[in-house]
Amino acid sequence: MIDSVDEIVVLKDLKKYFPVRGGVFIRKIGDIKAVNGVSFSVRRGENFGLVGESGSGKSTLGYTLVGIYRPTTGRILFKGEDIYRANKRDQKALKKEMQIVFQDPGSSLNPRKTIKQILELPLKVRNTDKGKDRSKKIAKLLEMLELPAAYMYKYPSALSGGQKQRVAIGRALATEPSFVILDEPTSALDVSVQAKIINLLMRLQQRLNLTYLFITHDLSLMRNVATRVAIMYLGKICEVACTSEFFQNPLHPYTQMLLSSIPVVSDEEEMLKPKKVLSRGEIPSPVNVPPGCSFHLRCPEEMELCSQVDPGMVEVGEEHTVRCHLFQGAKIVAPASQGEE
Amino acid sequence: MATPLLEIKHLYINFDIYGGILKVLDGVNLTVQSGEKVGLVGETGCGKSITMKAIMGILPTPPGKIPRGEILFNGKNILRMKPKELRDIRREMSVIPQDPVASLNPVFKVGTQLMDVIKYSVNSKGSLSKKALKDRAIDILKEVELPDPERNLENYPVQLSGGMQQRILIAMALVTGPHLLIADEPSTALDVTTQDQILRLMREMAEKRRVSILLITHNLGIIRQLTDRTYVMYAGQVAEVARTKDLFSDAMHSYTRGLISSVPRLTGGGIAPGIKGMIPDYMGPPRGCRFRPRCDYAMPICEKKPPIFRVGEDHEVACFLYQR
Amino acid sequence: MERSVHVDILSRGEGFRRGWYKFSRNPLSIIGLTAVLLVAFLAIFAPYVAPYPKHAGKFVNFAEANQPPSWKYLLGTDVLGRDILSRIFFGFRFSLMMGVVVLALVVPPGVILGLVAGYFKGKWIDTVIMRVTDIFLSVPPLVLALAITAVLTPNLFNAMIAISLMWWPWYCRLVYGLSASLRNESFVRAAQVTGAGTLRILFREMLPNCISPIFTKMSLDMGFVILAGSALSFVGLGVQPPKPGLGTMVADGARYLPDSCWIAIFPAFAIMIVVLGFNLLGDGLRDLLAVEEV
Repeated sequence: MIDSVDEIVVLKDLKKYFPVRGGVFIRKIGDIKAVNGVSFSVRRGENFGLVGESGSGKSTLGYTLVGIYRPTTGRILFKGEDIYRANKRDQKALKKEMQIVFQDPGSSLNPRKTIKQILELPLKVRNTDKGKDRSKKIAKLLEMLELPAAYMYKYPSALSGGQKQRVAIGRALATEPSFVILDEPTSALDVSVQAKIINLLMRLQQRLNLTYLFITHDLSLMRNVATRVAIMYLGKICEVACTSEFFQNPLHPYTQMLLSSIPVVSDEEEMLKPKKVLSRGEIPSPVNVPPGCSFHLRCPEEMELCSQVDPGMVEVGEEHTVRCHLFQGAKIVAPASQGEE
Repeated sequence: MATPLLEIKHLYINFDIYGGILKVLDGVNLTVQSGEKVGLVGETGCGKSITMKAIMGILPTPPGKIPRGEILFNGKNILRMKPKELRDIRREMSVIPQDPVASLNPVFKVGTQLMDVIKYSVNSKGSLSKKALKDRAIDILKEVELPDPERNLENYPVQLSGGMQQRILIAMALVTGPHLLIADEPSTALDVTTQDQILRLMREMAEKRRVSILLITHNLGIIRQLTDRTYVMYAGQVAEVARTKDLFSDAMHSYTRGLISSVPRLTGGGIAPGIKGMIPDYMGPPRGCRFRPRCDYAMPICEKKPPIFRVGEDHEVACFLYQR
Repeated sequence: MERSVHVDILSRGEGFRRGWYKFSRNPLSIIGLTAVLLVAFLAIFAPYVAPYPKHAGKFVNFAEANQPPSWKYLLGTDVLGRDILSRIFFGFRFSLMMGVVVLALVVPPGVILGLVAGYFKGKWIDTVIMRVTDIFLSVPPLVLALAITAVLTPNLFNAMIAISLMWWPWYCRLVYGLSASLRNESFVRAAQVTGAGTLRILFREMLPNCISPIFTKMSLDMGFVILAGSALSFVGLGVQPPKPGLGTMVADGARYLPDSCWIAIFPAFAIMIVVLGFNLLGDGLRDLLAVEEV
């Protein structure tokens, strides 16, 4: 691993398919194409936002990055090294560097373990410290999470949603990772609790020099936390831009549709939304990915080309890329994946 | 002033559990006029679901208890009604539940379930033929803009998307011709784009059929989209009520302010600090104003329960800061 | 959906107290618990509590054989003049021993195999374990028991082995289902991401979450194992005379129905009390451990 690399995580045409079995002989009859050719890179220290609705594959992407799923094809580079070609020892070291915080605090903490035992597990697995040192580390961790030390002996059921999520964050940070995937970290929390948790995450990022991949469906939240935003639809990235550009100049029709549907709480925000792109239809199942551009059935700008050919990613501005036939003339960044239809 | 369609007066609800009594609702007052769209907003644990269950008559009574208060529907207290009267009331009050997956029976066809509701909603005097039932079902599905109603009647819920399932739930709620629609977090399970479609549909339906809506949710964005007037609830007390646009532009209660400021803005501006503290333990809630421990403006008098002060047209706050 | 009311559970101790409160509100559970405790007490202290402890062994008294219940012999005597009440107390020993030993033999392997098969669901080890389980389940239990005891000599120990062989698959199946669903839980995934090894995940993350259903099944099973053991004894394959196994006693007395009916009926009632006690206790435990939402 090369520590000085600027792009800490690079994805190259990552695909994750889940086989669908059926029939009398339980043969494979199709694939759930959850992640269908994703390429992007995350820079050191940034907060890279990944937006998508349910069925977009964003959570699957996060899980594949962190090792819960193995990619079907494609490569993942961490600090320059391909994590699935690395040897066993390097892979173990990698596990320490990349961590994840799950969406639902209720189910991400083992209800039969105390907070101390939950936070201790990452330390125990490394086997580096003795019992007393571990307890000290855990006390420090709780302090960082702004939880009272006495909470060590409580069970998750005694904690509120926000407190549970703090523990989940603490568990991810216990191995001192450099890259943390936050999978909808506040979607299950009330909005006033969300504010506190997001602030904590921002503080921790500063203090511990972390790089975040922030996955959420909440665009308003994204606007205020991410440095760059990528939007995902049915397993593919549609558009990537830095945050201000993304919200001021959304180009992909899906991005515009999503932005125009958000229920906002003020008139200023209302004016910022794209002129009403009435949403139509719903996201299809990842088993039946439409041919050509996967969004064409719902797209208000659909052209004949869209149902036949899948567009590649093109660069339309500084650091702004889109996957859409409307922008054909622009410079190609990545062609459409091979073996599509 | 005309009789309100729904009026909750000084409602107190307790729960008897191991270790003591949970004093959940502490004197809730709420009105919904005919044709009005009212929102009830609050975070997890504020008591809004329990209020809704009390209105619907499905509060589990043990361990729940209603020591004081009335719920008047068209002037009559439904807490004191006999089952037969309640059944008649239930035709006039419908609920759109939260999660379509949990509310639609997966082993029956959509058409069967919808026609069941139609059948039981009709007065027992005249029963409808199978064909009439089917026609009614198709009519209502067309009204909720479900594509291809004839074919979808023969489908099972699992074959339909989330948005379509939610439309069916709306259809089932509208079939009895209710005067009040209670929508319980009607779009939490849906994507934002689908949610937008469903909320538009609900607004159209309400206006077309002149139905009142009571929208219960924690999502401030959809409150702003759908309601005329909104109640803000905290820890079993009503903190504030105002016309929705006034609530967002001119919130008075410290909790409402904190809540609204916590919502991230599309215009940027960073993340607000949130509200310090946690919701209280209902077994020993703070005396008086239950928000007092978390309020930056708490005064000694706040240990007494704040009365409701009028601060504007249709705008009331339960806070001593606004005492004349 | 989160619970709508926030209730604070302070510590493990608090949890047990709450549990007892809930448990004690169901009268049937209390009856079950009482019955089980009573039987256990009588079994353990049989030599001190039984009026005629010697009657449980080799004892013959033809002078007072076939006596109906009286003040001297509260439940009467059997064909060899032995006090039925005392023999029942000693009979409880065999019953409980059978239940405890069988469960001790059956639960560990069943649970471990179930955990492994469920965690690796879809892989070859799952197929192997579950097909073996299926094979054991497809053999009729009584036939299996007969076959085993035909090969080995009929006695209590071999009866326990026979019952164990037909009982373990149920635990495997129970835990298989739990394990297969638990492995998708976020906290298990989190442990994997943290780098925990498979053994740790199986036994420190997943097993503690299976304990409740396993315990419930164990307490319900006690009754059924005892019943199975009594059935085997009745047929002559379990506890051998002159030992006072409850099933054996029923077999002895069956011949004398309906005249000296007490010889068969009281042991049968004793079996019923034990089985019913464990059933009620198990039901109570199951209700207690069910997740409650306010």
